[in-house]
Amino acid sequence: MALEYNRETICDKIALTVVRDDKFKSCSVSVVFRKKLSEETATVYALLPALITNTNSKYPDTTAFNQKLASLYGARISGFTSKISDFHFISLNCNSIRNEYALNGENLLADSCQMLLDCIFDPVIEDGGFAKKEFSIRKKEHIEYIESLINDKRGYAIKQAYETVFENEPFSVNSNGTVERAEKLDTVNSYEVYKELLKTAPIEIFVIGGGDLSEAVKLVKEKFAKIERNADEVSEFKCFSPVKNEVADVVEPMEVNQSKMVMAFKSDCDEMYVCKLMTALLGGSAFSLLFTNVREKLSLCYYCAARYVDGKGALVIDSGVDLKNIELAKKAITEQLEDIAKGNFTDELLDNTKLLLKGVLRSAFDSIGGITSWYLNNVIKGVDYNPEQVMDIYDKISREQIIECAKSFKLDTVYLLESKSQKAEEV
Amino acid sequence: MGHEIKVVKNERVGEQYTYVKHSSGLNIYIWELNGFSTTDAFFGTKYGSINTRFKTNKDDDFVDVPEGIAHFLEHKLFENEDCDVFELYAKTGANANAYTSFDQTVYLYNCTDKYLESLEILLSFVQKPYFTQETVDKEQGIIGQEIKMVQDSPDRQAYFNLLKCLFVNHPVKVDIAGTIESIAKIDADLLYRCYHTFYNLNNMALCIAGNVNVDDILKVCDEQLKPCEDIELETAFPDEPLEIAQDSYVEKMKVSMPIFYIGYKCQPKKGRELLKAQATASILTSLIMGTTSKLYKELIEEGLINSQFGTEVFFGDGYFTCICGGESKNPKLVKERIFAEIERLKREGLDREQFEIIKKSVYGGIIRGFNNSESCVSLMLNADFFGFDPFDDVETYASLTFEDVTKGLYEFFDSEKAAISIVEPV
Repeated sequence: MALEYNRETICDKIALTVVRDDKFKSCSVSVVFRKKLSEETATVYALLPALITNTNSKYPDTTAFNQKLASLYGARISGFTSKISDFHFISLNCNSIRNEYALNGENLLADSCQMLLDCIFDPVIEDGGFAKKEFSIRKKEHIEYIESLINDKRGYAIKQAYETVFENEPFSVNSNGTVERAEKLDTVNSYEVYKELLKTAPIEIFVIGGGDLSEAVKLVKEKFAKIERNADEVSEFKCFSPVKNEVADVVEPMEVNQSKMVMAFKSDCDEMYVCKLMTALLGGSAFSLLFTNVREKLSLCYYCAARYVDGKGALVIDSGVDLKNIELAKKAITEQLEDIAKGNFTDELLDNTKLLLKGVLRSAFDSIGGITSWYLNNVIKGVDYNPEQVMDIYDKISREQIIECAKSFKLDTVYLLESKSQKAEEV
Repeated sequence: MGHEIKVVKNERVGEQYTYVKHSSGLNIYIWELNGFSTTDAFFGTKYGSINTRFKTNKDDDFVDVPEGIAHFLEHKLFENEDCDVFELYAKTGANANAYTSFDQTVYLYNCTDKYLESLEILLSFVQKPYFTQETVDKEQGIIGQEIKMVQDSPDRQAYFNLLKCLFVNHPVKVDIAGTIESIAKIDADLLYRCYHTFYNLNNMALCIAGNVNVDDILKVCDEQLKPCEDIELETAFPDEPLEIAQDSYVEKMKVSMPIFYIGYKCQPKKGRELLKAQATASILTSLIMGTTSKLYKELIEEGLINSQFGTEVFFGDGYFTCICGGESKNPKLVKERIFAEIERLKREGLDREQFEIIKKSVYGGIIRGFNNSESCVSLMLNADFFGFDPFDDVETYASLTFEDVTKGLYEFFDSEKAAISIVEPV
């Protein structure tokens, strides 16, 4: 167990969580901004991590910046965005090995933390906006990145499906934004958004790792306690998606060898852990119903997996299948969910699924990233659980609850990335 | 039973593991990680997609088997006579999986409870093959879909197209899963033959890291491991010239912009030499085109590459290459610029200060690896299969000199032996 845990509010809606556990040989500082997900802001928020984490006023040149990090024994500064429910999260992090491992007594944590803080509070500014050359490089890269989402066909199919599944809801917005929006961004309007973000976004900061973290904590507090704030109200995490009156069928033809099918089901079942457990039983493991039936018994696919979309009440199943077998796969997948609703599953399968999920919970604190996301998720969902408490919740879920939960899911959307390839026809 | 047991400690990083030469013939490595809840276990054989030609003391001559058979065998081993292996693991709560690479097949699990029960399952099923024509036929469908899936991955296609450029005969140029045609030739008899050749404990290793106890593990091993006679396994590869097969390959796929890999074919290495060559080449690629280099900055600023660009030293039995890749509007120009930069560095010399910085950064990366049980087991397994000690890596980097790296610049980067593979948008 952790040697030290502390969470405190250091400014208006800015909280600092510190977890020290000496089993770790590295330490990290993460700063996570939370905003509502929207079409208007998604693109600029998605571009910000690259703009912020590659230079700062002390190291305005990216090569010098990277060399400084390398000399801190390969310390890393990075950022990314993600979406959970109808919220957009912008994370900026640094990570370094513990000072004890430095060969010449360098102060790695404090130095890398200071570099991150300089990135956040002292970016390179020219004419009232981000530095022009760096901005144009990162903007071009971001556009290329959005365009490259098509290269990963499985991820692309899910992204496309979500546009229909969550139509007219913030969650349908891609957290990377769009090329059209990116084209309109410039150094000044992006910088204005960033300043607004610092002022208004609820912020969660995490300092986690092994060894003495106090210097990093002090640096973080000094900087964040002083910023001018007018923070957003934190709104409800749960934004359930309404089920469509008629199932939406979307077909997108493409020159690929394998077709990809995404099926979405929705429910108003309010019990998140019951939904998660039911989803895992259906398609979250190599002994789940989808794996053993659709893959192993019917040999229809290599992957067929189910996921529960937190906060949205949606169950999404995706699979890569030969075009000629699509109807067969659709039927088989639907039957597995129906079987759960009819109670056609063993107690053993339920117990084993619980065991698996509890194992994942027990290992949640074995990595710095795991600890960060545990506490962040607690904050987002407005709960204060430790892994043992969630294990207890799983233990108490009954067979009847699983059946009722499965019954409540209704088919909403079937998306198909349809293979047009000659090769696919031949085999 | 008489086992050779030793505790190996590295003073530089303050870490240790226990090595056991088990009387069954198996090499066992155990790394106790205090404070962690997770245990990772890898049970692997030195057998991958490249091992399609072999001979034992039971064969008169070398035997050739279809491409993709090691990976097929990995899939099939999960089926016992009476049940599916995943059902057994389901009872212990372990998360089980397996992978096949070019030169290894590894069965693994991670768990937070009952690690000894899971170990029993692991050791038992890997030593208990059960193949029938019916189950083989069924697997053709699943693996057929896996092959189609990877055929749609432009990155993987670009990578294998590069290997096809660099290698004339070596099987490393064939996709690990084989082809729809090659796996059609696999039957139960061939699977048994490969199994009995490569799944011999003398050719295998067991590596465990986490919240574990050495004596408890050895007790399970003593019960489960069936001693294997040494069958004098030999693997062979077709003769591979030092020259490349062709210097470029272009394929068209549904991608947003060209994806490319550029590779240098080098003389293959073995043993200590391999260890040093790998460290030298890895530092060299960072010095020439890593994120701290002059060339990287120029290519980024000119919009010729983006942050997806990366480098790799790729090596194994009979192959050693330095590879870089990413996305570019003009991959051929990237290649020319890399060629020119290497010529410049050969003329003007490498930067000694940068060399020291990169060395520090690599050291930090190694320390970071000790943060989790999975990277510890994979370090031990790779070391065993290449014939090193797991801590040799950190020592090799520490002892590497600027002169070693300068010499490597001439040895590893010969533009006559370089090729480029590009996947262009349709």
